[in-house]
Amino acid sequence: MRRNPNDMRSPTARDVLAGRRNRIRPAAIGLAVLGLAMLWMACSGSGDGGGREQLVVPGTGSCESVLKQLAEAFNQKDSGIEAIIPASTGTSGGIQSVVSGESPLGRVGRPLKEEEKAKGLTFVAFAQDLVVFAVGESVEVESLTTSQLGAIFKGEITNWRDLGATDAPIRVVGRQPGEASREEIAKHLETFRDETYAQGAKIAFHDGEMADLLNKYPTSIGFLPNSLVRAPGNKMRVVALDGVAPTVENAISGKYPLMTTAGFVYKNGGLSGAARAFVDFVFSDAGRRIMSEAGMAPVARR
Amino acid sequence: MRLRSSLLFPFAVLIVAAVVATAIPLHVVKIRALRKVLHEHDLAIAESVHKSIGIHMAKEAKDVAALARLAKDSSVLKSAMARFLETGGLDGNGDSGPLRAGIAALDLGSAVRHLVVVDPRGRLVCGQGAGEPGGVYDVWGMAEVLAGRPETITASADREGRKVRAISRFEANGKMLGAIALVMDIDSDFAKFFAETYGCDVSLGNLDGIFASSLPANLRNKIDETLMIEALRQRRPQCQDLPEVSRTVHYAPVQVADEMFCLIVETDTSASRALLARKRVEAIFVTLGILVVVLAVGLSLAARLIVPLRRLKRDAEAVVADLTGADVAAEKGSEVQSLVRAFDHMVRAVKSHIDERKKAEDELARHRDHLEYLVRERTAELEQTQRSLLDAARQAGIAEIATDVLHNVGNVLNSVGVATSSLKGRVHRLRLDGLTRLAELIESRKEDLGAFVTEHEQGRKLPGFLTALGRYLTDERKRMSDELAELTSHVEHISEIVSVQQSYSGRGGLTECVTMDELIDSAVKINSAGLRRHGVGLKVEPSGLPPALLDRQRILQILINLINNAKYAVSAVDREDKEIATRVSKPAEDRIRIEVSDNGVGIAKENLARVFAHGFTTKKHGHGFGLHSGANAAREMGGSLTAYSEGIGKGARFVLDLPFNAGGKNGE
Repeated sequence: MRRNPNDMRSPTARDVLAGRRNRIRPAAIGLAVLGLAMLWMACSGSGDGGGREQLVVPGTGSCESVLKQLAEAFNQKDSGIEAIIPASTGTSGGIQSVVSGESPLGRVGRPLKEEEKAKGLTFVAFAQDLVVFAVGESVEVESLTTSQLGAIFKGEITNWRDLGATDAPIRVVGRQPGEASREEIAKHLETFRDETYAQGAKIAFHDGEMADLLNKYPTSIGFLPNSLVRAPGNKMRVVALDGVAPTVENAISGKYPLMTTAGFVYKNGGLSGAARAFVDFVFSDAGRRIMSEAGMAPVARR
Repeated sequence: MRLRSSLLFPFAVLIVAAVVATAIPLHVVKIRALRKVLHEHDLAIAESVHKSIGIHMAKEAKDVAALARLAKDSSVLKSAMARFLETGGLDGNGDSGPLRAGIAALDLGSAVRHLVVVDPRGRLVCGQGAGEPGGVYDVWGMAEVLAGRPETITASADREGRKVRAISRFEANGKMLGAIALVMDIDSDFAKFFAETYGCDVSLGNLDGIFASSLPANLRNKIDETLMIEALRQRRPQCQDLPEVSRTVHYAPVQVADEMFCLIVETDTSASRALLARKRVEAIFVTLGILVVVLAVGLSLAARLIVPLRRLKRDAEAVVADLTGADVAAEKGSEVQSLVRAFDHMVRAVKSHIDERKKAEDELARHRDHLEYLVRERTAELEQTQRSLLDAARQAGIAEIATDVLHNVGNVLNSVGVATSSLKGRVHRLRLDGLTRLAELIESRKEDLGAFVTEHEQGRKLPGFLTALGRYLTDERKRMSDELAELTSHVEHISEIVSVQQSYSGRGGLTECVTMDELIDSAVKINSAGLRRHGVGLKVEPSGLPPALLDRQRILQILINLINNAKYAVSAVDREDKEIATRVSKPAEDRIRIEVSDNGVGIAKENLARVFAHGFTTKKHGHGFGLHSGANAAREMGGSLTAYSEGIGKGARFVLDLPFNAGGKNGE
């Protein structure tokens, strides 16, 4: 059977180009990084000797704030390693960084899909996080029902006045399709199965953007990982779902349904050096304590 | 030269394959490199455009905010708005005319920018495309500004499309007048502005779709949402190649106020494509050119190769035909194949030929060895035989000599016998008894001897008797003396024969100066007794030739033998005139010829040649040796002995020819 040449050519060309770029660029970057690292090591060797090995952990924004806290605590130990948590590139970005060899360790907001496992990756969960609905600082609502939430996000309720609060337009902030929090909500709340948001709703592409928007607009509503809500400087408020407060206890008891898994991803064959040290720290008591304080539920290392 | 060859095709294929295998990958590599460079180039352009647009848009947003601030600080607008509100505003009969005029007088710098003014309750006072005055201007950020925030910059969508708004709190002398929003439409005009500025097609959009594009809707390419999300999520550009429309689509995140948009930059790659296509055509022509040149060179080389190959093949076939007689020329196939076959044939033929040769040589060697063995064997046998023959010959020689000697001696002994018997008879007959009686008579008459002689009758007869006796005895003595002389000559002859034989057995014959007549005489004398006994007459013709150097003994022996033979020949016939004749002549100055002829039995024609053969004889007690040795002796002396006869009963003639060295000048 003769195939449409477009079907044949465009994906091929794109795959090839994408593949080449993904192969060559990381390699070039890797070389450059290696060269710079060697130069830097040589300089620091002859200098004051304060150089530390850097571990960059790219990936999802869902556990970004807690990992920053963990990295800060980890970096305070004199282990000779500096853990760096860059801005979110999403779970897929973290996975790609690890696959390309850019980074030995990536952070992900969900377990790996089959096609991602097939790339030779190992996933290790370090905590469970809650997905919570949050509102801007001026919204005086403590709890919302799932049906209210569904009406809000679909644009059926557009003013807080209708929910018994002060007269203010409701600013809906959603997430892009396929995102872990959105998927988790859609899994448990029937009213969110419909993918369309209210007219004029903003879409955040990262948890950080979500937090920023919730901070910026006091009458807004959105959803995000619980650990981010507690990050310093945040003004948004968490609302109860059908009267159930989003706490770790409620989540563990099963009353609160919305949970995501935060974890690390690395190449099959185990961790080495800095990455192992950092992961070990995350699973340590100190690490677990930090995660618990951030509203996460640390999980046992498997 | 016949070029049609089965090799040409493989050659051509090889050449074409070689060229294709070298040139095409080279071109492919070149074109791929070119394509990569062009792609990177297109990508770089897209990235730079994206970056520039990102910066540009951030600046636009800042400009919008700055303009909004300018507007809100404008005293004209402030006073117009204050008057509007004082005259009742939207609820009363407030006149928005001066406000509108003030807004219209502002230079916003771009057609896509509008100014919207709302009253403190958030209701629209005036503004292009913002709806009917009096309606709530419900946009993101407005409530916050009205609640006290001095300024909000926000991007959001409404029914008219995507807009960036810089909302500023509008107040004068501490009294809130409302809010001023400077609105910038993120629409296709906006996109076209960038498209014109950067020379490529620009679209802006998000997951809701494209809301600004320099391309008309029917020419837009379908958005790849996955790439868009990846670009927005991973904060890195994604690229899509659309070769069928000669475009590279570049997705990149761009922050516009508080929203993340996807900037889609489409660059036209048709120039690159055209360049690539041109390079491909060039590559094809270059390849074809190389192909033609290499093909021509290769084929000419092949042709040059083919001719010697054929010649070689023909030579090989000729060798095969020569060696085996088989014709292998008809076989088909390429030159190389047939050459290989021909050489195979040739090698086999040569090999079998060599094998045969070797076999033959081996055979020959075996034969030779056998022959040599045989020869050695035969030689040994021959040597043995020769030794035996030599022994036999020696014995035969000894026997021959003995026979010869005995023969000659026998001949002479005959004469000796005859002479001895004659002497014996004479002695026997000698009358010596009368002498004895006389002596006794004289003894008895010794006293009267005189008387007796004178007186006695008997006595008187005594002197006569004595005289007669004396005569008789004298005669007898003479005869006996003759006989003894003859006997002596016989004995001498015997001793000569012996000495002759001695000379035979070693040195050559001795020559001495004799006349032929003497020799004949001697021979006759030796045979005289026999001749007499057989009543054979001998007629000797004296030659009177001077003496010459002759081998006396040999010639004598030959002559004796001839005379002896003649004697037998004539004795065997019953006739009265039995006669032998000798004759000496000189046929030439240095030759002498002696003929002995007889009128005896003669020699049969068939035997004429055989008479000189050893062992040939017609005599009852003959040895067949005399003539043989005679002929040999004549030959040794440089002459010949020849027999002539008219036939049986017609007598025979033997001729002895010898060199004649007259005068014995060279005597020894």
